[in-house]
Amino acid sequence: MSLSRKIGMSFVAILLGSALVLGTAQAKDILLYGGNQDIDNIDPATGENYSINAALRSLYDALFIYRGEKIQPHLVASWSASDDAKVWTFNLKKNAVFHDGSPVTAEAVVYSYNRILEISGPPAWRWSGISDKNTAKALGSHKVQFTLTKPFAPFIGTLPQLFVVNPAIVEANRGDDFGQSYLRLHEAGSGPFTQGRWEIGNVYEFKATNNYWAGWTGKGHLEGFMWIIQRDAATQKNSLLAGETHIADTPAGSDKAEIAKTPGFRITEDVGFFTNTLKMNNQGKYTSNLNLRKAIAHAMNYDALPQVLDVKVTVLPGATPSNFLGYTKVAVPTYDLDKAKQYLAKTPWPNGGITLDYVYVTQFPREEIPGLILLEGLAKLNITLNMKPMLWPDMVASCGSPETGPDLINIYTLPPYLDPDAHLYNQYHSGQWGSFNSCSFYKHAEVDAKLDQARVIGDIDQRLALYADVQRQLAADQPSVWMYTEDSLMGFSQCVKGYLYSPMYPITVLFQDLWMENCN
Amino acid sequence: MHLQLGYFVKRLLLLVPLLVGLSLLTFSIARVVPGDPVGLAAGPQATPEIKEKLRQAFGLDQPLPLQYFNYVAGLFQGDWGESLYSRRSVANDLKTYFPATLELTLAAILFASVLGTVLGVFAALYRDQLPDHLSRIGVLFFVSFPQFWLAMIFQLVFGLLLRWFPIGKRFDILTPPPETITGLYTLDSLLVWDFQAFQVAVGHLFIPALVLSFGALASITRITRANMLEALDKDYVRMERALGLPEHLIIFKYVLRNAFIATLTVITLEFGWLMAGAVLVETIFDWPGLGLYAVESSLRLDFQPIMGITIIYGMVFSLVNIFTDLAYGLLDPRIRYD
Repeated sequence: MSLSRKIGMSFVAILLGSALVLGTAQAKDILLYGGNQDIDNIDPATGENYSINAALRSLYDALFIYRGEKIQPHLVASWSASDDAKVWTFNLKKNAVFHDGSPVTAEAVVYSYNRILEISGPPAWRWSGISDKNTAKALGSHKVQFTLTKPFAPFIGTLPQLFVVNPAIVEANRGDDFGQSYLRLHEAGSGPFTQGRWEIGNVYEFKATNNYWAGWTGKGHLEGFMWIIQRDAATQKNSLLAGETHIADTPAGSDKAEIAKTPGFRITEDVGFFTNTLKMNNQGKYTSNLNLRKAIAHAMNYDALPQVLDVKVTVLPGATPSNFLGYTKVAVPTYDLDKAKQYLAKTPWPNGGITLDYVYVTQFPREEIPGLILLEGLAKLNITLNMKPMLWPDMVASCGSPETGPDLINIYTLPPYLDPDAHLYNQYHSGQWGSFNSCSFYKHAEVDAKLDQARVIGDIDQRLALYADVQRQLAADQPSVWMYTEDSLMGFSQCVKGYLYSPMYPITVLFQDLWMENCN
Repeated sequence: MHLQLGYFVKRLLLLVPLLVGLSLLTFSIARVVPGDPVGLAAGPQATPEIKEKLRQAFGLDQPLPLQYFNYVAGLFQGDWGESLYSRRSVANDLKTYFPATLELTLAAILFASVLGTVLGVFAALYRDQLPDHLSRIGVLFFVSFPQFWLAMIFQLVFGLLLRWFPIGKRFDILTPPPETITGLYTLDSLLVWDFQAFQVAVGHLFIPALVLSFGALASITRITRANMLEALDKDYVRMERALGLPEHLIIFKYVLRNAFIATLTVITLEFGWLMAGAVLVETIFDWPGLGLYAVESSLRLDFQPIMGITIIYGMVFSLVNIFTDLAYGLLDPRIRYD
């Protein structure tokens, strides 16, 4: 055989060998998770998004935890609050230990809280307006008290994001940035998993801790899991069906049927709190007019949304989703062009003839398609809708002030904690202007007062009554067009057990509750 | 050789003003476009105080000329800045992502060059005959399809249906990749004599590189064919044939060598384009490379990574051009630079 033939054959052998080697690697009870997003950062003081939260909930423990639709005490054994919702006292469980074996103490909680406040990263906003450096105090080795600078009734709802770091490790790596450089890549927690292989932008390995102090809730538990970044939905589906992953966290709606009908796989669809709202600039040249806002809301064909979008959606019944705490049934506009024309007749532009900008994220069909539906409805009122795609940072900037805010802007919102305050305060309190969540620039003194009042009352029934009033007022003022909540869609191998959907984290799995049965 | 060395050093020195100009241009563009990257990085509920603190931490509250000066000064000390969004060091990110894209692009250009040259030579030797038509139609077919579509089809067929190759990634998920020496997994595994790792790395690289190579295949084939035809018509070829030299010697030693100068130019240009255009292939095959990093940073208006990526691409383009110029001299000793 000539040399060139030998080389050629060797090459083919190498390739075939590779093909045989590939895809066969599998380890018992190591879950392979296809995640749409990178885990940029695992510092509890500076990182926050769905993938980071999945990592933080695996590596760290917090005082409370969201499990399913409930919030449960986690590091906390018992707690009490003052009547004015200003002083909160927590007794910690005494068996909680960090990964180095040292106990999770009240001092560690105080340290973690103050570190978040001092660094002022994305998670800090929850507490920065209600805390100062004296807020958190250790009253004993396992008793911690928070004396807020002003009452804040939803406080407990924010605590699942207070991940407790091991002060000894942070201090040993403090540097000149309070340990940020270290903690963004290394954990210092007490959670059910520790870090394994950490390949930036590619794969992250989590290994189960031996004898996790809180125990495991399921019939079994994972030995570990790999977070595999898979940005493309088709790749997620192909990997799942090829057996290269066990979970695909954001498959395309168009792949739903294929996954569901393939033996050994399943699809879960759940209604979430991820709401899509069309915010109208309530201080804008045209949309400051209530009747015009009502006309726009009646020109939207809501029934078309579930039919044309590539994900399952549920039309919103008002400012809050129907399954969210504190939802109040209110009368919301339906697609009714006659009514739309009646409202338009009461405006300074009874025959239309105006042009409104509709801003949405460039090349994002789930925001563009609703605009095209509205465009069709408004055309019948002789109102032109100018479809204006923008990059997300530009959209954020445009929401900086009422002057720069667009006439209409499509925004997705996820409430950061399970409390009506999370939905209503962030979007409709005038003190929140400047954030994209409040891009409708709505201002109503009574609504502001009630939202403020609901923050300082401890009694939940009184608070819910206030939120009900607010929702009725919002329905009357129509600051936004409430479009839909997007259902969560996830693909699973049937061998993965223990998944419990949590609407607070629509695409984040609580890995500590999962186990595997007869996975190949 | 002495002149060549002088030329090389001169070209390297010219890189400095080029990169300064490039960085200045990118810096200006990144800063004048509208958008609020700080607001984005700080999170939707960030208070004005939190945003301001972040702005100060990243020096974005300083005058633009000072920001630029600080950036360039940092570069000379090896500090490429920090991502506003992930807070990771840009230099470390580039060190991680660049070898992945380089390996993919090198493999793709290798496929395209070998395959394109072979097809071009055959097309020229069998001018207007079946092999010529087939090769031209074949490359036209692959270059006409959108790359992301080909990537998805190849992934579906070879990954999911036939299971010959993995769906994506650079290496087997459950196995640590070879120890980093160059960051190119194929090369690193060979350097430590780990042939099993080499097999795995090649297996992961093969389909993404093949798909990426299609973009360059057509131009390399066409330019090789055209120049081969031109060279085959030269007097020296007639003379060599008249002297009775073996045909393969005439084709590969004399004709192809002369025809290859133009092909080399195209390969160089294509290398740059493949590297810059690898993002779609990287996305489909989960290839953790620079293209994806560039797109994500641009969408977030994350200044520091955008600057770092631009400088890296600028350097690669320039260096490839310099080396190509030097390679001309090797192929044709008559070419000399003063």
